[in-house]
Amino acid sequence: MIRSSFVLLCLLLLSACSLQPVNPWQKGNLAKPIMALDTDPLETRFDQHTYFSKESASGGAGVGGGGCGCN
Amino acid sequence: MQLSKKRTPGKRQNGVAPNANTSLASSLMAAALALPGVIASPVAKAEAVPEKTTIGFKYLQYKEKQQTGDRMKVDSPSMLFLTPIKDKYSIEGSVVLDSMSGASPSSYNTLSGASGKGIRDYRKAGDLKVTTFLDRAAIGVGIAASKEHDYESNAFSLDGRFSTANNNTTYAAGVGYSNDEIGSSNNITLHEKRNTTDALIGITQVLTPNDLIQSNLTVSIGKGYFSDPYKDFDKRPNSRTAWAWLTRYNHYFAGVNGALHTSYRYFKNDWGIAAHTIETGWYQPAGTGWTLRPSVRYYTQRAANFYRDPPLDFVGAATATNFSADSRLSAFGAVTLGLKVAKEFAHDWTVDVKYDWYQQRSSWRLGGDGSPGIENFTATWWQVGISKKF
Repeated sequence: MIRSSFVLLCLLLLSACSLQPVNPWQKGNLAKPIMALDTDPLETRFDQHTYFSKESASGGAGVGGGGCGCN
Repeated sequence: MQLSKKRTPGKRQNGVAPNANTSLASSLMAAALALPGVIASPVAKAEAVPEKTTIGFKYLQYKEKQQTGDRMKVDSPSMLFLTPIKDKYSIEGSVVLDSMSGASPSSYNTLSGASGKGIRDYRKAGDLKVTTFLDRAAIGVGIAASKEHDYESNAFSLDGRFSTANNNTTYAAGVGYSNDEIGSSNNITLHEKRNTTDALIGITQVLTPNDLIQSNLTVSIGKGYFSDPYKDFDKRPNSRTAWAWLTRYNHYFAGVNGALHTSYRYFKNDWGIAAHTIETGWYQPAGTGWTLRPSVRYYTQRAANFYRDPPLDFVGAATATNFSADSRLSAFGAVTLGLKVAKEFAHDWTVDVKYDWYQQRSSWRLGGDGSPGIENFTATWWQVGISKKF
């Protein structure tokens, strides 16, 4: 799993080399709020907390969130 | 790099060097959109100081039920605050108050099953993060705390993000530490501890003017007390190492001005649990400030190797080194269907409403039958939010 994730990270690095670089003036769509990776932080906190308390998997998005008695 | 506060639409400038002062806040936004925070904070833009102060409120109402009856209800008001300071720093924080009532799901808790006593409990939690912005980099320091009468957690985080000169690639790295103290209302002599160290590495890449991808790898190493003091015979290992690999991909469809968000996470820990999570959402602006977002999520996990199916085997439970009948450690699949509606008003006011329906079933597990003898579990939740920027 660790190996495959590193492979993907490397592919991303390679893709960065092979792709036509996107220029600042081409980033209008990427800058739109609906293209944010996290569009609503309070919603994300609630949803992550809910899944954290009902499922075994967690993590991937950040560090240092801390624990709770719900799990 | 001097960052302009203006958000003028992109205009081509002659002789633009890759890292020139383009005065396009939007040119920096994309990478900014990408960053993980204490808990994945999106408002905290990558290398650009936020332009405005944001205050948001959100109210969550959560209910769960099984065939044998209604279970826990949770009401949670929360608030978020984010503000720039002197063009070089940002401060963001949130607080939440959970108020829980009802009985725990029967399969989760042997003490308050179908005939169990009602629970009423409260949780207060908050986090605070300060970010310093440098040329093409940002460094954040955060703290988080969560308190219940029988559980207290204090956490710390440090993370950094670094962009290439053209702002098309952002690297992220972070470390976190949390110190948890566990008690029990059933056993006032119980005072246990758990420490967790976690780390993240990640990359966010602008692929095309309409495509953005992020991939993060996190590891979490916990040591201490992991058993559930409210479950009979629950004896879990005193350490747990977990890996999560999350990849998120956003595509913008210019023809309909919509955005498709897709993510996949692989999770594995050394208790024998492996899990896949796939999530997708479609953002559709519908004119005059309205946005609709239907979403679907599928989750599946394998059981922990010390999980035992019901009915409870008392002899086995008493003699096993590690044992748990907690259905959250069983093999199951889960589906979430969600719909969010948001409306933007004048003067940067936004109001949103979201509804989610969630169900766990053993039979929905991918690549296996799932653990037998567990009732389906259903939860629904509403979120109502309002936010203002100024």
